[in-house]
Amino acid sequence: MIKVQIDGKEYEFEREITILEAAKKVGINIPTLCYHPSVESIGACRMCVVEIEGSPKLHPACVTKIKDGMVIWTKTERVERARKVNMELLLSVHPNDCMTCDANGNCSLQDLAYKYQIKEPRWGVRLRNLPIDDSHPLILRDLNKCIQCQLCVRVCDEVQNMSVYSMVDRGYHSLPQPDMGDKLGESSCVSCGACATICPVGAIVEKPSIGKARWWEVRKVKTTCPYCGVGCQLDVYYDPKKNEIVRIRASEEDPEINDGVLTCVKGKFGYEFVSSEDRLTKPLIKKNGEFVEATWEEALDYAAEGILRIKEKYGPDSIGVISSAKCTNEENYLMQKLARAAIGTNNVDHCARLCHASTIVGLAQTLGSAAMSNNLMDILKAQVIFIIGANPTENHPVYGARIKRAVRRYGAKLIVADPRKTELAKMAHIHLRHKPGTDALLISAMMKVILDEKLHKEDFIKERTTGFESLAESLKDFDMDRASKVTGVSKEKIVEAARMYGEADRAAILYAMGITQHSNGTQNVMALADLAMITGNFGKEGTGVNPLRGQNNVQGACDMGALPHVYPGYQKVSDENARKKFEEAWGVKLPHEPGLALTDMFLSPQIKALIMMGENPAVSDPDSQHVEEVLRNLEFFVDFDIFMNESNKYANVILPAVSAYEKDGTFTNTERRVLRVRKVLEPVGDAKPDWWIIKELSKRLGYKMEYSHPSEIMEEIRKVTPIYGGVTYGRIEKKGLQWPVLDLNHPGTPILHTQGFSFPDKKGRIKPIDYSLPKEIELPDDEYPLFMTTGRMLYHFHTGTMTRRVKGINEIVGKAYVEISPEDAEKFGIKSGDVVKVSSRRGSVLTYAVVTDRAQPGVVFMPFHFAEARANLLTGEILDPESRIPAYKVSAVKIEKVEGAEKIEPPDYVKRIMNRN
Amino acid sequence: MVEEKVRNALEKAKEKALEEKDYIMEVVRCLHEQFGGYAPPEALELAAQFLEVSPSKLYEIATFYSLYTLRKEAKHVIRVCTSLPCHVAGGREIIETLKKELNIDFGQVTPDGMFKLEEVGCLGRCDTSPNMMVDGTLYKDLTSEKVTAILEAYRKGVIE
Repeated sequence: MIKVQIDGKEYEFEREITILEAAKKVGINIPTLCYHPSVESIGACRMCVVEIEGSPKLHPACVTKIKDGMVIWTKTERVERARKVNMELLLSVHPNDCMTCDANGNCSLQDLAYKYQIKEPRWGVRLRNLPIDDSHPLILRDLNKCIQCQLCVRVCDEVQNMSVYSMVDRGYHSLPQPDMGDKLGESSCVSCGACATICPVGAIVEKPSIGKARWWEVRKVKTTCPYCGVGCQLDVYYDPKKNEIVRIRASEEDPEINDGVLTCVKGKFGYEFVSSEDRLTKPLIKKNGEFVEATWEEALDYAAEGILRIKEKYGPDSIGVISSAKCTNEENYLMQKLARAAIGTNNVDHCARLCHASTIVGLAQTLGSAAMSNNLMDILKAQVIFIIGANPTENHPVYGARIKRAVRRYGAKLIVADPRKTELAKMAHIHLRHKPGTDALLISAMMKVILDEKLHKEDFIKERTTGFESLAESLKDFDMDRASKVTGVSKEKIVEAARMYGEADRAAILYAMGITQHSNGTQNVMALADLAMITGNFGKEGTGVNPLRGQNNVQGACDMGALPHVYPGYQKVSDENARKKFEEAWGVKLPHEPGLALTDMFLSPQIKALIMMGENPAVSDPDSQHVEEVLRNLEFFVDFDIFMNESNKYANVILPAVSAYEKDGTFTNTERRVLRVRKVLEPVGDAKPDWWIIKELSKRLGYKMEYSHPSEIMEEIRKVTPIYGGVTYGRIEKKGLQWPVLDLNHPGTPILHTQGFSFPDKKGRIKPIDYSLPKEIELPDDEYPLFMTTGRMLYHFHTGTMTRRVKGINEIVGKAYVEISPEDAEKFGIKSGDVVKVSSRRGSVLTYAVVTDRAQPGVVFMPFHFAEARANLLTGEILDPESRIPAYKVSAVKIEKVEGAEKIEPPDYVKRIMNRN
Repeated sequence: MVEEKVRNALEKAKEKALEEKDYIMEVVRCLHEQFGGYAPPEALELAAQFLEVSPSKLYEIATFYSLYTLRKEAKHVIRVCTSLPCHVAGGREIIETLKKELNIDFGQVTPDGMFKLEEVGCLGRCDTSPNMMVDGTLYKDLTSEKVTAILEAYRKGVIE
């Protein structure tokens, strides 16, 4: 115990914390300007100075640790005089324009000027007279207001790990500037906006928020980001009078998720879609080919009649129900209940089929639990991080930044396996640049090395797993030379990577769609599980097999059983006991057979009607042309969405739903954490939450659902879903819980498999891997000589329905493009900016080329967010036989320059990211 | 060739720097040397690319130290000490002579582009004060006469 006296009172503290932290703990407020809990303190502003008895000078409280017996005074005359002088110095260059400043009402400098009643500093005011940096579409910098606290520099360096800013020049003239003193809009900035979030004054502000509302006019609601699976906790500031979001900042309460300060560009700035003019505000019924506005009664009755008619005519299995990873757990639960209990079919699925279906199948078979084994925070404890087929700095940016921190700050070794030279691949100690579709082979080669060099953990294998012999046997005759040739990675590099991974005590595997979206996706996933099991990388911090989930609630939608083969909590529909339990809970007989997967719904003539919630398969699913044809030919199609899109234009009835900012519920993020989603705004027009729509529709289909609030649905969920057994809104009010949460007293599970794997005998199942190339794979040939892979990019999300309605984001990147290697570009006579036609056996799209060494020779890449240049017109419907996931990551294409078309100058961001180190 | 000079600087810096963080400091110094007394932004940027660090890391160093400049401002840079030890040893007269001879103030460049005059806190040789430094060369135990002679030598090209 450390005893100290602060302002005349005795206190005891357990650890040697700073004076500032100690004072805060006991309710003593010490003023600060350059302090933020998410970055390291540097004691620059000298506002937090205190007197320590026995020491002649004043000490900054933010960097001075308490010591036993210390006597500290925080408010003496001397201290206050020093602070006041300090304030006067700062104000002697600061413009007194609070009247129009965006930080007015939320400004540390203003608060302290008020506290110390400084109207004008005694030396007068000499302004810097600097030009304003207006170059960035989302962030405005007016360094005349800068107080040189360096918070922007530190957050960009320590947390975002971009190091865009540095303090340029010395002394009085020292100011934060991007890169080589460039304007922010021309710098390597990734637009995360953390500098605007952290700036204690109005020097760096969010541009879209300027002039919208004063700080005292806005209210704050904490909620979960509706974009990717990281689940950043956001403070949403909104103007209740205008029913409009004013700005978004990271919540300080959840540093384990987004560091108490970090967001990405989508989370921070991607909210304008909510108040877009295009929002659906009234139910629409299609009459004579035209959508006509209707009342909710009419539209719901019409929808129910249509569904009942089809059910009568063809039976319940003729109806497909497509749930949504964008919607809440409660809504997904109700959607699968609607399918199973109200309609009587297991034909329920959602877009997890397109991203992590192979994870669910592959990990359930090997580990018994289909989710990230570890958590977002403990990656900082990993000695080696092995990332394969994932691009987190663009697709899970806040987590990507943390991975960079693990490498830069904590010295983790990084292995990246990716055909593309992504940002992390450039940073990696070893980049395995393998050929698309050769993942299982590459991983098997690593396992071969590990076994040959006896780097596997025999004790772990013996105590915790079964099936090792069959894997060892299958690798006995493994041909390393052939593996090297087929993967395109040298044997030395494979050996080096295998040793680096195999020798570490704590090595974590992270993967995403580069592993799953293959026709052998399940084999890829199982190979990773094997690799981690044979090296004992489970049940400890900084280890595990960690699928990064793409959508905000794709984990939750799976947990809720919006899948054709399982009920909530992965209880199998084919298991009689599980079925009986749900029949009892829901009071109806349930179908026995697993239903159709999403991809099969579009291939099977059995489906005559669809009920779809918040998805856009015409852009997101492979072979768009075929998908559109299926949608067009449906006999009946009910859709709920917030916008009209490329898919629901074929619907018979569209029910206007609300966005995540207009409803209550929960999302489960990629680390299995159940997080609260809170209503910020009133719904636009007559739009209703999806849970309400499902409940009303179900009633009309003859199955009553009675809920007045999503918390009641969660009560029901937890009673039938053991892994959610202890989840209540009360318990997750402040912080989310990580499943399994078995009962109301269970603390949640940050790391899976600590005691054993999720099987009755607690043993992991090591499986032999079929490492031959996928049997069905579209290989390049003379006519279509290139591989094409698809994926996401930093600024946009999925089918673009949300991000493409955000003005600033589209100013930065507004068009689709295709990445092509310099070698291929030369071969096909293409230069950066040329308009090109990319074609496959299924169709062609026009876009423009970006020539970059990010692309591997022979492989081009296209983002799939852009409906007008739809990458998925080109992809095919080759499916993984085990998980029915489409092989998005390999299609054969050709690329031709469109002669006579005007060149398109790639936007700065695209150019920069292509060259970024 | 900028690239060649950058590569040279990186090589040279490697010989001297002991630790990773020293390295980047040494790189800026070597760049300065390679370009004959300044470190142009394009060279800093290129070096950052080779080092796989953000360009801001080099720019920060290059703008922090008064010893470094980003562009060639004059043929020769004179740095004269304004601190107390030099001052009491006759430094005031040295500064007066310099300003009079060159007809410029601190921070200015002579119209012919020959000299830039800068004040520095200390040159670390108080034992031989008053001191000044021209480019990389230290001149010690100065008198007004010595200063005039030194300037003349530079003007005539006796010293390059």
